[in-house]
Amino acid sequence: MSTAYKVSVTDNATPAIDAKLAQCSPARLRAIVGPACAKHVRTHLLGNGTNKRGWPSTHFWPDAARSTSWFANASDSTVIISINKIGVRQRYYGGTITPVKAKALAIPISPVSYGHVPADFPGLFLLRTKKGAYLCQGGSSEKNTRGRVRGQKLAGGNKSRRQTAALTFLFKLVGSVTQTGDQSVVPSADELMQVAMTRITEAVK
Amino acid sequence: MLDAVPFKEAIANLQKKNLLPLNLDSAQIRQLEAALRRQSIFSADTTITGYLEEIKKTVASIIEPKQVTREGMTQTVTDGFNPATARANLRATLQRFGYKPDEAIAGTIKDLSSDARLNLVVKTNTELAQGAGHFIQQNMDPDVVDEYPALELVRYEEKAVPRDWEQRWRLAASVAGDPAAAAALELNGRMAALKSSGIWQALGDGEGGYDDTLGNPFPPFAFNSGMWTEEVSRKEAVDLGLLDDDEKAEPAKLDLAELFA
Repeated sequence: MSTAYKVSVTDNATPAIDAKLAQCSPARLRAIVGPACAKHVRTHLLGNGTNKRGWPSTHFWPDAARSTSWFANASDSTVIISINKIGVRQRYYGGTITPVKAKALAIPISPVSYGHVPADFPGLFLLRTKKGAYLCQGGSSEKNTRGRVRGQKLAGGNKSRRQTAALTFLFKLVGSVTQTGDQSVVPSADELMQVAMTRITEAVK
Repeated sequence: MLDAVPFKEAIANLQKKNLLPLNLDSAQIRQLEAALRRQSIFSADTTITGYLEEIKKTVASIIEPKQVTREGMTQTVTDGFNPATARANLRATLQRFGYKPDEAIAGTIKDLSSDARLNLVVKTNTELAQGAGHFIQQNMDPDVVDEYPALELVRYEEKAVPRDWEQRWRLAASVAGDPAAAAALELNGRMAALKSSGIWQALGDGEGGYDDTLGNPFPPFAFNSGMWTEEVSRKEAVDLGLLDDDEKAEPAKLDLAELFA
């Protein structure tokens, strides 16, 4: 007996492949990768914690996270994650900071002055010691022109952190500061690549 | 590492804003149309237009610091205000305009030159522009909306006395009629909702009687909230019960043209 089989070939593959390809268009991949990598960078920045001295936070890293956005460059199919926050680059690269508008840098040396500049404090005076020059402020019993005791609220800085003292050392004056870079303040390129690949794998099913 | 690329959506939002001198306190300002507040730079009891202009410039500098080469230097440095120098600049501007607080309010939040007030002005206006910028990025591209259909409310800053955002979430979910958002919190401990949910505007409107909010469906939602939003992927959103796997995702209902030029 002879027999024949008729095999019907239907192209189900091409529409499925086309659908996959559509999911892998540069625009779609950028939409998958950009938000995921930006979120990862923000999470990393938030994990950098507060200042080493344990002083009340100035929220530097949350500010950096809020300033992080992503940018799709259509011309070369890239995604750029950008942190637009002054100070992040300095922490990453390190380097020497020198004064621009003044003769010296004023480094906060007290939780009262941390996150502040000398202009925030009325009545600062310069005190030179063998250990260097400092900007100081008199005690909180300073009187105004009418002889009334000025409240601490007018003394500037973080009033809740003030202690009663005749003299408060607020800033040390220095000619320059050299800081060591710390590349761990942002995620590595490998880490971001991993995030991107994981998200693409998840999204392009 | 590359030089930073400008956060163009945040910058566009700030640039679109008009100056709105007001002789109103914060309660009276809340009575103004939300759209007007969204499109304006203002501050309670602040009538000096030149000062508002300086606030706008200062915030622009914080949002978009520049890489510059200074004379005699070979490497670039980042130039712009940080919160401390911004505060000092605005205080100096007030002095130039002859501002002097009444003794009764000196040093308080009502004193335009106090640390507390300047911090609030700088922080709020910076975060509003950044929040609007993120909101635009989250909602403008249909592919992004499809891949990340939801947002999660998360804490960015620890506070000594944190406000009860979970309670606000419950009330806002109720007002917005979004049981899925309420369930995401109750069942998964996450304040997550679809981008198209009315819960975001309800949070910004302070539904439930909160008077510290800013009237926007994007963070910071309220003064000094410390809260922000992060995008939630489709897979997570499905797992949280916010939408079905094959359901079409929709962007927020706010007209984005309101937010930028």
